[in-house]
Amino acid sequence: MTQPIDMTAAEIAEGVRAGRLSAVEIAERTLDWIADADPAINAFTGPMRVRALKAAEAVDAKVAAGVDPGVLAGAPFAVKNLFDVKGAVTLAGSIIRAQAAPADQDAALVTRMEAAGAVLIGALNMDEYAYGFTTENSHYGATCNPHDLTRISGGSSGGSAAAVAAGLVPLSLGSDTNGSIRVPAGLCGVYGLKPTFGRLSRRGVFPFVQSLDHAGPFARTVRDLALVYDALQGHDPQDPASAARPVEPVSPEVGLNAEGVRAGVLGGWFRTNASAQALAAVDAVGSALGAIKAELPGAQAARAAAFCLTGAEGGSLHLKDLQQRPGDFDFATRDRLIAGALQPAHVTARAQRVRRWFLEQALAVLEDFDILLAPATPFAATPIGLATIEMGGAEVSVRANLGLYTQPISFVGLPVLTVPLIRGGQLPVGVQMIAAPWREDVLVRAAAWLERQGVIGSALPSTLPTAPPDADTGPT
Amino acid sequence: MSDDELTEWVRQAAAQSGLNLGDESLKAVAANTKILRALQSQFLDLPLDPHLDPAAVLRL
Repeated sequence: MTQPIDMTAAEIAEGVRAGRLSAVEIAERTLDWIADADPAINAFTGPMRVRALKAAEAVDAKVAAGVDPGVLAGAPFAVKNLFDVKGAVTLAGSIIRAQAAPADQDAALVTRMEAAGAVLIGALNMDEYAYGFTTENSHYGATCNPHDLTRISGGSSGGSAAAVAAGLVPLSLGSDTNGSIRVPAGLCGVYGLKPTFGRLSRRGVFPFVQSLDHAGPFARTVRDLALVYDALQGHDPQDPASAARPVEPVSPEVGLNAEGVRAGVLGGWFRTNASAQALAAVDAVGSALGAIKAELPGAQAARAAAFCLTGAEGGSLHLKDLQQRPGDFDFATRDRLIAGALQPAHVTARAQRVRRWFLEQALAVLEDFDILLAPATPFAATPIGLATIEMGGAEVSVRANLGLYTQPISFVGLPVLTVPLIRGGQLPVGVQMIAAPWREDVLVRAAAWLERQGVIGSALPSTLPTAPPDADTGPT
Repeated sequence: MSDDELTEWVRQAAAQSGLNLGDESLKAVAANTKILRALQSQFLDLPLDPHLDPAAVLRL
């Protein structure tokens, strides 16, 4: 039997649904593989063996009883550790939260994944309180990039991206406030979807910046990403930001071609300071889609406003702990949150109005384009511990600049699919494919077509430990 | 504003917010405040329609 690490979620689900594979054996094999391989990566902060095996048994029981086990039957998944999991403490990357009571129910998206038959395997590492782009967590350690274990995975959903990139699980969930799905997806060479603001429920997801927070999935194929995204959709009246929209499935788009898609390669802000490889990646995708040049005015101001608003809202959220137990924060997180909280009110009021203004600019551009293209990050994964990098002739902070091209887009809630370029032995780089609000369908259609053309795709790295020779899990 | 003036501003603003900063933290917060002020200068003077709605990201 093919080991789970070499199977997509769709292949696992097909096998389980047909009775050719056992969800329990898939879960056991996955947990064993994590035990073998994850110590080198540090993606997981809490595997959940008992819960996983119980859920897998329920899937197998449904199959045996002739009951539909769901489109993701038996597919293992894991979640960034800011998602509530009943009975577990929601760490959100902090030690402060380690003293909180265990969650009394699952996050809405965990419930939806399990309703589709997916099996929760565990919780994943992240930057403290999601305030970072590197997942160099001072409490739980750095999550290493599976393609080069000496380099960062990106963040803040670094564990989510690395776990999928390493083949520990085929699917994961993360969150994105300023780029926290798109940055690690790009650096780890996997697909990451930040849907339209309000599309997916954030109920049970520990917040960072409520007016900017999104939840979304990671996968190694477009088909898997579409399957999981469809399973996650649906209005949630208990999330005030959840849009009252019907489920709009994108899985049917996977087999279509990209003819007629009007693509534009963003210039200006989105090319300034980008490395040669980041630009080459965008241009490769642009060329395949027949893209022309496009401009999105105001991106620099939007990025700056997003940066300031993030500090203000995040600082406000954590102010009491900053007052009462500042020593329990990562010092870099703490000092950025405090600086954010001290900003005058007129700054945040202005930033909100800039947000509305920039949304109008973006919507106007998207009248002429179905997809806009931009780098996910200005450069590929940097060495763990590297604080600064040369960019545009100046030495700048790695942490502060990884989100240069993602922050303006999430600021106005547009859907973005980060896709991995095929670059044969080089470090991964990702491209943001950006669409108009609620048009995730066109992103999936174009990405699936690009994947079939061999322009984009995700490949497992060669630096991981190999499976032990006695680890055969034959078909049931 | 000089760096010393900025640091003093941070110290006073932090104290008013109930935040007691040690020397190292005070320096780091001042450095972060300097970054934020540079970023603020990129949008505070943007000419905006006074009727521009500062509401949520997207109309739901």
